[in-house]
Amino acid sequence: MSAHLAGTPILETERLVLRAPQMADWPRWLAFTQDARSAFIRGGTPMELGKAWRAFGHVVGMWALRGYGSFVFCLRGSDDALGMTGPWHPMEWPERELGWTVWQRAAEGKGLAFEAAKAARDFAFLSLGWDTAVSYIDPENARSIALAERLGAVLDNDAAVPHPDEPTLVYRHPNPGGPA
Amino acid sequence: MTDRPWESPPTGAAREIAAEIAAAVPELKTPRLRLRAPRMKDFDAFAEILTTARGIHVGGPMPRETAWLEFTEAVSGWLLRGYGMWSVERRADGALLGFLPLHHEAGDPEPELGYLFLASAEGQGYATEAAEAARDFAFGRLGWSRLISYIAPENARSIAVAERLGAKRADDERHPLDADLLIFRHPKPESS
Repeated sequence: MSAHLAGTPILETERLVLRAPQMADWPRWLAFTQDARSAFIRGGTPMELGKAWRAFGHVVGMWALRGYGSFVFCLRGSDDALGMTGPWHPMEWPERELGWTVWQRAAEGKGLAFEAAKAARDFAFLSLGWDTAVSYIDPENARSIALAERLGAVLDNDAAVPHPDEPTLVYRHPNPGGPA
Repeated sequence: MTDRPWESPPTGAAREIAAEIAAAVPELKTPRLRLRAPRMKDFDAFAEILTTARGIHVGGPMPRETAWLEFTEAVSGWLLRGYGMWSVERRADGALLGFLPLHHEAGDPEPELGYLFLASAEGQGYATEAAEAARDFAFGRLGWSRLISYIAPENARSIAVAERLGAKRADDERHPLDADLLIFRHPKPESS
């Protein structure tokens, strides 16, 4: 029996296809967790194998339990995951998040993460019917902050954060279906 | 569950997507039990096992947040590998009794059959009955030729279940990351 994407939506943008993660994406994810580029989501040291696997399974299992989750994004005509974005809700976080990670350096600087995150945001608000969503961002993660701002998200200094002992910015996203 | 809003079952479109994924998970039936796709509501029972002394032989007791990582990871197999963890309920009244994972995590040389049951479900042969169904599914529908269970040497109840299933200790093999774990090898049923 092969792995499958039963029931999970596929999103398409001008340049990208977004789909739920599959086993074939695991090597790309693992490489990302060992790379300096993932420092903002994991702390100081590269993730050990078991932890990287747990993190991958967490993202994928959420689809089955919550009915939403993170998409990987690939260039149209390719099935090579460049990164991941989507609505998710880890345990004990104060509210649901729109997250993103860019796994491959080659995917940077072309607006691809913006294009993917915008599609995932629209899915959360317009298809799932969310009325709000935040992104939690490390204050030193300038690239992620720039993406949040490009999406029109604004700082919400009153919002609760998942880990009060860690410096975290909360960006709140505009509802693309709501009043401007 | 109002004190834990992040454990709320999905609603609206998300509920429909979750139901579609669950419908793709094969359901197994035994005389007394139904093995079905796990759902959000089942997490409370899973956490009851792994966050208490009951979870001592399977990596616990662990914080609830860690149990959630274990739960989502076990469920993710259905999407990633085409096999994963079932929730086990009693057909007579729908009561949730425990969990039956076919599970292959990073670092394990091969997939394993596990069983995690609530204290209230012990002593009635439920774990053995559910594990038999999952074992037959692995050898039959999945076409596997090998199936093992990794068991902590102090976990006498789990060893007893493995032996009731006809599994044999394979003392010539060791788990590469944890040499203390016992390896029980399940016999391939003759019919498959």
